[in-house]
Amino acid sequence: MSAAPRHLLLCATRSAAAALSELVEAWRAASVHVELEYFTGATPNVTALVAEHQRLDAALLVSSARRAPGTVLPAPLVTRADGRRVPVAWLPFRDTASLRCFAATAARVQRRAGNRRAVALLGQWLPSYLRVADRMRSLVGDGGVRAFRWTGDAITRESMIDALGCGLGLGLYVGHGRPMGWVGYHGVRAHHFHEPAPGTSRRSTREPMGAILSLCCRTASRKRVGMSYAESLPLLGVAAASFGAVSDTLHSDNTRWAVGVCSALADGAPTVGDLLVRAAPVSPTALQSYRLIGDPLAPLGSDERSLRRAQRVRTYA
Amino acid sequence: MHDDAEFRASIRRELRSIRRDKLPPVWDDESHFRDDLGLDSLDLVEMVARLEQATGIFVPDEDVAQLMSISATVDYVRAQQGVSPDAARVAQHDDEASH
Repeated sequence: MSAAPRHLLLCATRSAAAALSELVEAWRAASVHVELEYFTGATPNVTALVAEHQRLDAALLVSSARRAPGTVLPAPLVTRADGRRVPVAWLPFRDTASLRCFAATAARVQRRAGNRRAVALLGQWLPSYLRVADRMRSLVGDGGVRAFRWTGDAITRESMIDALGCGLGLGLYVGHGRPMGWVGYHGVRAHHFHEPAPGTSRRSTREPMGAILSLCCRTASRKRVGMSYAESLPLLGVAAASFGAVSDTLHSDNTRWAVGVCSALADGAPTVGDLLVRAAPVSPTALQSYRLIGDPLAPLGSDERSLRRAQRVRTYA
Repeated sequence: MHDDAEFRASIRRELRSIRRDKLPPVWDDESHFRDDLGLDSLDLVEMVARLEQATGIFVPDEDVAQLMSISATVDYVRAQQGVSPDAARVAQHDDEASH
């Protein structure tokens, strides 16, 4: 992994920052220079914050869960006056326990420092999405990335959820999405990740993923949900970061992201923030529809143990 | 004009990468993507995504139908980049004639 120091801005209330102390330590151990900026009262403007800080590779804003991803952040990236794009992420502060759970998850992902490139390709069982998944496998495969195709035609929901507990660096979902979760696999909700499979206790051995990207509609939308699926995944310890849409999306925009993400992954993007900067489409709607939740510097590398576990996952394909 | 010839070749490469099973071994720059080559909307959306990545131009969804062949795609991109398609064609002809 690159030893070049990176600069991260963490903007939070003092109590939220205290709950994230384990992650701050893990960032610093991973050569990340963390600048803490405390606020009280109203949620600060991220674009202005990024403009104020000269050397910045990413920013994480933690503020009240009463706000929604679509209103707190303008996009997953903020473009500075000098043209540089900086990944910006958000985390909703609902309670200290969920922040601590996120911090422990993201810190674990930071510390495990895998250097193998692998991705879980997830998708709804519809011909058009299976084809997109096949294309993504081909695109990343050309770049030497190991792809595990765990789409709805090849694996059940329970098995897919178990498989994601292998702890791969990245998961990509294509299909329909809703604020409460993925439509594929007969419906996936955040709580499914914490329910033991019938007759087993396998959930207790889960290893968090680096990032889960939902290239579909509305998984970061708050419409008719208290907390969106994309927000829940990092707060429940499923992944260090999550990427989802705050509105309906166009198939063309999702394809733009899919092509860009596969290219960036094949090029060796080391973190989710770097991946999004490299993958960002020129389409304004593609950019504005999505938000990044959780650790913007979540590493995408997978370790040998995760790969071995992933290889043992049985599918119908 | 090498850029134009290379650009045409790169579109050809991208299309072959997207649907190598469907495309004939040889086709000309005027061949219609859908009617002659049998590409479908998913293929074309991916081609547009790759084109945007390579050129940095944005192709709105309502313009995708204009990208009906390699020549039409080159003309569209040149127009977006502020290069007259006719000027590009003359330059390409001059360039090919010089070989």
